[in-house]
Amino acid sequence: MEQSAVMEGVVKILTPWVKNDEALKGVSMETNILDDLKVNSARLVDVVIAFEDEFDIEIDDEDVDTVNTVGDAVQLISSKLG
Amino acid sequence: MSEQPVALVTGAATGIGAACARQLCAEGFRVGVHYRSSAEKAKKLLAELPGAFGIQADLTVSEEVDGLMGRLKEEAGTVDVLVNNAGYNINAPMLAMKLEQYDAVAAMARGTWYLSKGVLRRFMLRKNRGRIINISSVVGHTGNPGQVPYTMVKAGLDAFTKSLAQELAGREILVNSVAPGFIDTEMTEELPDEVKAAILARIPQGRMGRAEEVADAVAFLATRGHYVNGSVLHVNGGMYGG
Repeated sequence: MEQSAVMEGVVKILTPWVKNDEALKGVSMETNILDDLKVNSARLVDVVIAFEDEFDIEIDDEDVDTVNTVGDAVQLISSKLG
Repeated sequence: MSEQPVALVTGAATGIGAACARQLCAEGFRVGVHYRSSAEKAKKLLAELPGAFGIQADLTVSEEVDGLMGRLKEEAGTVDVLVNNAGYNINAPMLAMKLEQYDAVAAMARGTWYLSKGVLRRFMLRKNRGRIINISSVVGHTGNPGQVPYTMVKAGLDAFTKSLAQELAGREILVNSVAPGFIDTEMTEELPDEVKAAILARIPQGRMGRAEEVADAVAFLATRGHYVNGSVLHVNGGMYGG
């Protein structure tokens, strides 16, 4: 899968959880999920589960710790897709 | 995978766990019978329960819990109800107890926490519904001499119930405890007669409970009890009301 398609999927999944719509309009690989998009950290697990379901992958807790930005999520998902 | 709801009961080969497995099977669940060392008893129970499957694991070893999670995924693909029944006790006065014995009893709390986390993460959060039922004990509330670590673990289990229920606010995942009193099982069979008599004197109903009576409470929380959350349901013949 193309990285752009993964990015599109990631943003689509994040959208319902985003509290800062302005940051979403200018979203990039560098956008921080918690700090910029203001996604509630307690709901991050729902985002990760949605990633798993959407891309048919399994993400370990240790992997989740490496995800800070949208780009981190895209790279992690891309690596799982192989 | 079928649409039949799945219940996992830990420590299900004997006593209260076996009664829960039977009751949940009767209520229509496909039951996962977890056991650690009681393989023969688990095998007999499995033969009684249509569709049930057995999983061996030492819950105090995280790698074995990971293995159990893998087996659950393969075997059932989901868990709708988790009954944390497995427990471990060493009876000894505190001053005679060794640190290793304390660790052996306390390790079950860690295992219960880790298994619950896995079941939530892999199954229940995905469906946004489920029931976690912790089998605690009246002694976690009243105390019991010779059982300092055990009573600590059981009291902690009820605190786990209350905290997790609050943490899961906004989801249809209910967390409750069932706190049995003195129940006629292998564990209480071993007690000396004078200890049994002293126990009975404290129970208004004048008898020990039956494992099936605890399982009834578990089945209620597993299938009904839609507005019961973060609670401890005492099943003890009146010896303690909470």
